[in-house]
Amino acid sequence: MTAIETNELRLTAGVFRLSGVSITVPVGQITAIVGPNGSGKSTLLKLIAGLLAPGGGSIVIHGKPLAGYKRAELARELSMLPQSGETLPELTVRELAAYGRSPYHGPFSRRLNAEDEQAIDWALERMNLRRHEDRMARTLSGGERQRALIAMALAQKTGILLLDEPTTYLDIAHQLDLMRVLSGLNREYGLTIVMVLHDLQQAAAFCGHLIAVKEGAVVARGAPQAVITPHFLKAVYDIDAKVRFDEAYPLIIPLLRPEL
Amino acid sequence: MNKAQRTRKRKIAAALMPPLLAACALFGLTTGSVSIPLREIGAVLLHGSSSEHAVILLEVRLPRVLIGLLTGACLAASGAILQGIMRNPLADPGIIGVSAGGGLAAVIALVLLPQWSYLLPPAAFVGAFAAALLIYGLSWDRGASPVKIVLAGVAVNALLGAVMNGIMVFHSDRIQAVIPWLSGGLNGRSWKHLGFMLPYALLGLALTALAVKPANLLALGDQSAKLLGQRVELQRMLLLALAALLAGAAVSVAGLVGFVGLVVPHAVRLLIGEDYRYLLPVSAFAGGALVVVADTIARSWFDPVELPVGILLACVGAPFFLYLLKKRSHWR
Ligand SMILES: Nc1ncnc2c1ncn2[C@@H]1O[C@H](COP(=O)(O)OP(=O)(O)O)[C@@H](O)[C@H]1O
Ligand SMILES: [Mg+2]
Repeated sequence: MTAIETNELRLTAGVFRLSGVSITVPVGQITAIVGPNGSGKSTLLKLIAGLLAPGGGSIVIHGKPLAGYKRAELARELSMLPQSGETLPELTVRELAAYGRSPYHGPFSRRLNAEDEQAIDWALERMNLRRHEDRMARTLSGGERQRALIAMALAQKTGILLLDEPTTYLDIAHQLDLMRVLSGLNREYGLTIVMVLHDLQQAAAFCGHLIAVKEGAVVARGAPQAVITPHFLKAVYDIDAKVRFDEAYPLIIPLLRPEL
Repeated sequence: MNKAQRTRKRKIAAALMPPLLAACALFGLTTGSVSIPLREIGAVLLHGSSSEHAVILLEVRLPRVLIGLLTGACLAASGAILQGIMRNPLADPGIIGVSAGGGLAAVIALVLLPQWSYLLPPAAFVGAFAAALLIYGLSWDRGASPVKIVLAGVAVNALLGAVMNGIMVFHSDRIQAVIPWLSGGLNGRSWKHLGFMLPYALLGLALTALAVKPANLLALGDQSAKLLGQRVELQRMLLLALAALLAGAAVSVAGLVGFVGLVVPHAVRLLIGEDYRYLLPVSAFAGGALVVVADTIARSWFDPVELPVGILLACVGAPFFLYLLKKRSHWR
């Protein structure tokens, strides 16, 4: 079963071109998207989430073409943490998470029912935010803020969660924390997760599937242990390095070029 | 501001608004070229009377105070909504030309169809909406930057003003009806005028209840609102129409009264935060109170001259606008 399937996806935005991207994201797995800065990872996620209109090709979510979804319907199927959040309004953490219930209500209704409260509790619980739920979201640290935004996405109770660089601005302890929480969600609820990562070690350790993007095209895909090779590092990042695995973690040892 | 402080501030604001509004209304009823004591107001309102004071009260001051309340409430609510959808703290129906659009349409109606004065509010609504769409289209690029919106507003304002002047030059015989209206004031407004605006103002103010949720979601940013299943473009259009309806209702009777929609929501936001559940109603109350007080001062302190309230509000509002512009100069 595939959660997301793109077929010959194309997009031109200024000088950047996404040229014929075809990927499949398996259901119930964690998929990592890696690639250099500016390679089109965020663009790809935005296309999948319906935030950008493709210039060609098709996207299928849970067996149904993206174009066939109403916005609210899609928001019950797929949630996303965008890369750069805008400044948050003056809200408590719980109020922020509660916005995740919007797709289940009409555009004007504001009452939360028992099911909503349960989903919000669950989302905050999973993100370890219960004790912060009455704090103003603006006063959170970077890591807490990231988790609050993920809690909002979780409260949407979707089968698919897209995360654009959720760990980039976190220290290693918070990175590992978040990765553990996410893999717990994936294991316990079969949540399909697609995340943009820069850390290949974490991609290999936590993700069952890896897609590498370069200059708007997919250049590698498959199980991380099989994909991450010296050849891969040369092709995607243009670096010469040796790769050795220690348990699930790849050790990447750059071969330094002589100084000119 | 933490949650407890916020809750306390909201409660205080909600509890304070009705008495504040009542106090301002009474100030407006008692004060003027003749002052009418509270006791007498009570007697006239309860038992009726045909004294001279009763006539002043019932035929002049009461409708004027009510018009002032509605005008202020509509302008403040309109400003609060515009600031939300344009994601811009400087949006105000007066500054960005929404009022001018309504004003031009109203001038056309006044000059060309003087016998159909009940058409003023719908004409003002259409004009205000058209101007809002124009400014929105000119300045929107994934968010309307303060600078762009002000520039587009200035340009649209100038254009609309020129057209307005042109119409008045060509129909100089009929501008008598237009001039007092243009300067933005409530001089000589009566029950008839209240009747014009009342249905539109009440409709607009009632619809703000529906604006709360979309406005709050838009405050998360377009991208987040879309991810939460919102039809952002449609909602923004509907909110724009509502802001135009509110501004149009105010403009159709009070003329070009500026800065209420800027100053009031801003002050309210500072006090109780930006949640539209509270921001919209509290702004409406505070806007009504402000216009009534300002109008009362404008008509009584400069005796024998009656200053149009728009002039007084501009004297307070323009410096405030400049202050905001300066304070936010780091915003693109
Ligand atoms: N709206 C846009 N207009 C023009 N170029 C864009 C736009 N959005 C992104 N780009 C460009 O597209 C390329 C890919 O961007 P992005 O998908 O954000 O890369 P990544 O997430 O992999 O770092 C970049 O070169 C970026 O500058
Ligand atoms: Mg990116």
